[in-house]
Formats: sequence, C-alpha cells, structure tokens
Amino acid sequence: MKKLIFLAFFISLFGYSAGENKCGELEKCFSFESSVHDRDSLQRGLGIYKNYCSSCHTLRYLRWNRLQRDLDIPETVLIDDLISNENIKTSDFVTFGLPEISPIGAPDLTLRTRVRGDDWIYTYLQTFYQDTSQATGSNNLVYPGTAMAHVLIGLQGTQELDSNGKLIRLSKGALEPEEFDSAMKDLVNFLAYASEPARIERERNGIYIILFFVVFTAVMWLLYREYK
Amino acid sequence: MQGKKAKHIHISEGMSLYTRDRSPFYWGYINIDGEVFKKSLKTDDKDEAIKLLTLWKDEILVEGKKVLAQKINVSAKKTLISNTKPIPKEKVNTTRRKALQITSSVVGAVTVAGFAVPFLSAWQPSERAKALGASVKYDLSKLEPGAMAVVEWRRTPIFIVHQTSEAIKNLPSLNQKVANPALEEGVSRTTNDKFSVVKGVCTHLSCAPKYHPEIEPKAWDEDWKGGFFCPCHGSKFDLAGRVYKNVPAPTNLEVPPHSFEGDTLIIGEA
Amino acid sequence: MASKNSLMSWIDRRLPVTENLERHLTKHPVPSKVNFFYLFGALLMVVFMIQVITGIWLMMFYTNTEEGAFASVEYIMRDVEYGWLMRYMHSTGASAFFFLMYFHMFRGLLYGSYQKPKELVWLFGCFLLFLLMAEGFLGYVLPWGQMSYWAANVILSLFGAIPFIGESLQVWIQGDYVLSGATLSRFFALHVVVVPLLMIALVVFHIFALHEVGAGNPEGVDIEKYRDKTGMPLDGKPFHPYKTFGALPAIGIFFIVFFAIVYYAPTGGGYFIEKPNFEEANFLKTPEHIAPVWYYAPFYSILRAVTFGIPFLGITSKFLGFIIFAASIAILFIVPWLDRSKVQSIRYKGIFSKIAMIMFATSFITLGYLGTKPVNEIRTLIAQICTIFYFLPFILMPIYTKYEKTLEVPDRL
Repeated sequence: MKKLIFLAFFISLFGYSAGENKCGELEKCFSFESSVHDRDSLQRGLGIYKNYCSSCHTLRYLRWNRLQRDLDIPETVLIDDLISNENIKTSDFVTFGLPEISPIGAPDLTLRTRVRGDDWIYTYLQTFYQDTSQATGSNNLVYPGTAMAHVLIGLQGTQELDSNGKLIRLSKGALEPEEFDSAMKDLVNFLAYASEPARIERERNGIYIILFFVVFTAVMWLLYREYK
Repeated sequence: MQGKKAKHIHISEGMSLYTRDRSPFYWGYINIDGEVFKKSLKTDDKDEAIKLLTLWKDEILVEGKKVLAQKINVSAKKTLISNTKPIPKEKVNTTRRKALQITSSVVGAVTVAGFAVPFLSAWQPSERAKALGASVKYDLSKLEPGAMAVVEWRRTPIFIVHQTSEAIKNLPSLNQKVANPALEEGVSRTTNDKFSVVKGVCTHLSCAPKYHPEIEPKAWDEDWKGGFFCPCHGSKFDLAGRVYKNVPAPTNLEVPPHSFEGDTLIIGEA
Repeated sequence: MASKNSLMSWIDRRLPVTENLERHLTKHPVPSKVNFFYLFGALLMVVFMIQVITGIWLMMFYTNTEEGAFASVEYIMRDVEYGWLMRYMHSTGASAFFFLMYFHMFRGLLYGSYQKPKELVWLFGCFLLFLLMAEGFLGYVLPWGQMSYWAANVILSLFGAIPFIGESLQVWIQGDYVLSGATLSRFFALHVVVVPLLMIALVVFHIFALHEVGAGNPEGVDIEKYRDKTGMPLDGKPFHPYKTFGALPAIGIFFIVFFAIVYYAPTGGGYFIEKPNFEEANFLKTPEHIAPVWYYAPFYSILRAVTFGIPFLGITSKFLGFIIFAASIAILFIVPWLDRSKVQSIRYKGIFSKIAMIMFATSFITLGYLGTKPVNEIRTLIAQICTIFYFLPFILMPIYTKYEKTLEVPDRL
C-alpha cells in the first residue's frame, strides 16, 4: 500500500513535466543516439565536416594525428586531402587557421554534441526551411532565427513550412531523403567522436573492467562466507 | 533483599534470575532444551548477576558439548548443538580456507596493479608534450657551404653545419688532435658527409659553444682548422663536433637522432 | 618467527602497533548481526580514497586560471593518457560519495546511531556532510564551464542576501566584484588542500569516536552487556575478519556499478556532469535553466520553495530562503538532542517515528526530483509542502519520541 502511494505520487510528479522536452518549435527532437564504433561512418562524417562545415567551424580541441589514429586515415590522405596546408603540422588542432572567436559567430564544434545532445544536432541539421524574412534566406525549426545558412541545401534540397507548420520538400537535392538522413547520422557520429575521442576506447574496454569486478565480488563473497 | 517478596526476572529464552525468600542473593535458572540448571549466583547486584548467569550458561554449553561427545545419544546432541552458536566451530576446512586466501590475495593484487596502470601511464608524455617534442624538419637547400643553422628541437639548440670541401678534407687530419678520433657514420658524423648535425650543448657544463669555421690562428689554438669553441671553460671541438684532447669537455658534442630525405633534414627521427 | 616477534616487540616498545591493531582491528568487537545498511561506511572510505588519489592526479594536469581552466580539462580528457578515466572517476566518485553518504546517514536516523553515547560520532558525521557539500561545490566550479560559473553565481549571491554584511561578504569570498579567475584560484586551493585536510581529520575523529563507543546494530541492542571470559561481547565478532571480509564483496558490487557508470554513462544523463558545462563559462550568456547537480537538488529545492519574506522584520524572501536552506542542514546536527526515545532502533519505536521517517525520506526524494526541474506554480507548491514535511519529523521529534509507545528491546541480538 505504501509503495502504491509512493508510485502514484511520483507518477503525478512526472505528469507535470510535459512540454519540457520541447525542441525549438518541435514537440520533441528526432531521436538519435550516436555511435562511435563504425569507422566508415566516422570517416564519412569527417568528409561532410571537411566539405561543408570546416570553412566556418573549428574543432579546437581535436588534434589531426588523433583523428588519423582513431579513424585509421592514411598519412597521405591526411596531409594532402584533409590538411592540405604545409604550415599545419599533424599534431596541430583541427582549426584550419581560423581564429578562436569566429568573426561570423560560428561556434567551435568540438564539444557541441555534448552541450546540445545528439538529438538536437541531428534534428537541427534536418529542419532548415526557406524563409525570406531571414538574412540568410532560411530558418530553422529547432533554433528559430539561427544565424547559420542552410549550407547543406545542395544535398538536402529545399524545404518549406506549410500552413500547419509541417516541413514539405520543394525541390530535390543531390541526395535522396534516406541518403541525406544517413549522411546526417554520419556527421553527428563524427561530431560525437570529436567531442570525446576517448569514448571509443572507453566503451570498448568497460565490459572487461566490469567482468573483472564480477569475478572479484564472487571470490570475495566466498572468502566472506568462509569466515562468517 | 531480605523480607522482600520473591521475584522472577526474565532475561532471555530459557534464562532467568529469581530471588528466594531467605536468600540475599540472586539465583540463576537455565533451561536448555528441557534440561534445567539452578544455582545461587552469590551476588545481590543485578547487573553482576546477569553477567554471571550468561557466563554460567556458556560454561554449561561447553561442558554439555564435551559430555555429549561421549554419549551415544545422537538426537540430543543435535538439538543441543543447534543452540550452541557461541561455541566456535572446531572443524575448519583448512585446505579450502588456504585456497580462498590465496585466490583472494591474487585477485586483490591484480586489482591494485590494475588501478596502478592508468595512474602510472598518466605520467608518460602527454599528446601535447609529444606534439611539442615531435620531429622538426629543415630545408637544407637554403644552407650555404660553411654556414651554420640553429634549429630548436625539444628545447635544445641543434647546430646544422654545411661543411665546405676544405673542411671535409681537413677533418681526417685532425684525428691526432681529438680525443675520440673514430668518425661515427662518416666524416661529418652523420649519414650525409656534407652536413654535421650536433646538439649545441657543451658536454662539459652545458654552455653553448660558439661556431668558428675560419681556418686561421686563434687565441685558443694557433693551428685552428675551424670548429666550435666554448667560451665558458675553453673546450674545443672540430667542425664535426669531436672534442679536442686536454680540454674540460669529456666527450664529443652529441648527435641527435636525425635522417635525411632528399634536401630535407628531419631532426628527432632516426 | 622469533625474529619477527622480536622486531614487533622492538617496534611496539616505541610505537604501539600491535596494541592499536588489536584495539581497532583484530579485537575490536562489532555486532554479529547487522544488515546491508552497515556497509556504507566502508564504501565511503573507498570512495574517499578514490577521490583523493584521482584528485591528486587531476591536479597535476589542471590549470587554475580563468583562461586555462576549461581547456585544461579538455587537455586531461584528450591529451593525458587515461586522463579521461581519472576525470570520470572523480566526477562519478563525487556522485557516489553523496549517494553513499545519504544512505549512511539515513541508516543513522533509522537505527538511532546518534543516541547517547554516539552524539559525537553523529556530529562529526554531520560536519563531514557539510564539508562534503562545500567540497563538491568548490570542485564543480573548477572546470569553468557554463554551469560551473552560473551555479556558483547563484550560490555566492546567496551570501549577498545576508543583511548589512552580505554584499561585502560576497565580494570578499569572490575576491572580485564578480565571479572571476580570482575566485577560481582560491576555490582551487580550498578544494584541493583545505577542505580535504579537514575531512581527513574529521574522518579520523569519526572513526576513533565510533571505536570508543562501539558500532550499533539494527536492533539497538547493547552488545557490551554480555561478555565471555575473554571480554569479547557474546553478540560481537572481531572487526577483522568478520567486518573486513564482509566489506569486500560489497566493495566488489560497488565497483561494478561505479565502473558501469564511469565507462558507459559518465555524465549520468546530464545529472552527474551537466550538459552546459561542456561550454566554457561566458558571463554574457546565462543558460536557460540552471539546475544543480542531483546531490544538491533537495536543498536547492528548499531554497527555491521560499517565495516569501518577512517584510516587517526586513527579511527578504531571498534571505529567508538562505536561512531555511541552512537550517535544513543545521537541523541534522541537533538530532541527538531531539530524540527522547528510550529505544534506538526504528524497529522498536512507535508508529509516529515510523511515519516521520517515511515523511522525511519521501519529501527528501521529492525535493531532489523537483530541484533538477524548472519551476512552475504546482512544483513550487509541492516543494513548499515537502519542505514542511522535511522539517516536521525533526521539529516534532522531542514530542512524539517521548510519548509514543515503544516495544521492548531484546537483551541479545
């Protein structure tokens, strides 16, 4: 009975939290959980970052050689295609010589997925639409009035808001919607990796540590029983 | 106590104190599975009596166990033993105990060692230190014969000397004057005879030697064939960094790990 | 063997090692029957050690300046070998510390571990809670993220609410007119030296006092009453090996949970390391919602629940909030003198004590939940009710413990 009262009490508490998951104009962000264990996905994500983001956004805490090691990138590809600047060493951070505070206000992306969450970034990238009232000509459902232009328009195609506030596709982009979706997943995966490179090692090795302590507990339990 | 009415004080199951009309003392009553024991505790202090009673019960239990061990009455033994918790177990499986002690010690040691690994590794040079200490590249095409460049590598000045053909000729002739005449690798002590690469740190007391390539009489050497002179304590080295005899510096100038890739010298990677 | 003994006696003559080992380990009696609640003390020692060691290592790589602090944490996370592990162990350890501390203290409340003659043990423990809260607060400022900055701002501005001296006190604590690098440097010194030293001293006092009066048990039975011929209580067992070996499997289980969090959920879903703290402190930009880490949430809730002042006394709602917030911790200190019960354990106390404990626990958890959420009217109301429910069990304790009907405590365990 006591437990029931507790339960009812807590359910009523959680009931009041409605509306707090709001994602900008949306009721809820599209759900996406990043994974850093698919190396191909990370490499594709790096490609999108390099082609579409890197002219404004830095990765100020990530070193090129760390990236090379973790994503298994050949030295020549790294130096010729990715860095392509002989003044930048492989041990430098991924900043392309951009200043620390971007003149156009583009934030550093290294820790962005940790600040906003995977869901938010993933949804944000998908919900640009045409809006002539904005200086950039486009607006965003998750972050209304965002200063960022719809740079992925060539891939995604144009979108528009209908009278119900739903997104509708106006024109085709270079990618089919499913392809674009998977490209955005790659990009978020890559950014999630950039936010915490140690995550690859962490999530891979954790299970062994836990298993070790299961054994530890079992042995110590037997010892305790012996002396009980 | 005298004159007072006899009373009965319950202590715990099968254990109680009581008083008798004509006795000043507390009496103890113990009932173990139907076997009753009574005696005067010879004290009128209640707390003392409780203590004595408890001790007495333990005595009975120990005693009872000994007696029972001789008896054949198995069922009685069973019931009594089940009530004799305070008696320490006499039968300990020592092999099992030993095995558990060893196993748990090993597991404990592995745990401690495991914890030590990340803490010890954290003292290794960090990625930042590795980046700062990474190899340095130098373009040799800019360096004229006879000129010397100073490049910083791991907070150490590295002297790169482009030997003139005259100097290359002279170096073997200095074998008599230097302390360790054998030329490592080649004439220049590197894999490329034209270029010497040495740490610009005197092996005596870590001063910075000065570069004097001129072949002319000097205050410190009438027959100077070019080389390095340390102004601190007067140590002399030839152009390949070999130390002269009878100077304070004990060994040749150190050659850092390096390699040549065409016109590029890489310092820090052999 | 003989040489070992003569060596031991040589040492014992000069430093009473054997005597103290016997006194505190091999011959120190502990109750033979306790439940899992009695394991939290040992686990707290383990966590304290984790915090000290990982803390020392983090200190080797951390920069305590306004310009360098945030980047140095990322340096630890990326460039230092296993730096991420140290950092996550330290941050998870902080949460574990509070989690265990709350259970440890709740055990004390349930089984009367503060009653005569254990008042000092309890008092030292309460001081430790206070120091732990200070330590956690100071430590949370160090990464110099958005939440570090703004949460510290909120708490420091509380000092500003104290009448007359408030403002100058706040400036003095900050060492600046705003929260700045000056504050960060002194918080660093306090976090790594002053508070830990005090905590170590108090832990020593806590344990020495405990070993003087003896550990309790869930029955509230005094095990010292009956002893065998050797002087060992009949319901007691030597600390080593019974208690020590009993703690080992508990430590194992603790590490399973601890490392599961460290390796698979180090931010605890935003409750252990909050999302805004991955953005460097920016004094121009307040985060939308300032939430404390979960372990302060109940107290933060109490602070926020006070939406009214006492105008005719010149007490603003902010200051009253601060007073009640402080009182919510201070009241724990006087519990030994509030409880007038003849019995120690909740098992033998009356119905009112039981209701009071349920009331306290429920309101504490509810306040904790509310503290992590943004405010709205209903939540504020619930928080106010819970604040009353938090205090009532203590305020009424002298009355109900004195008059309620208690059960008879058995003689033996």
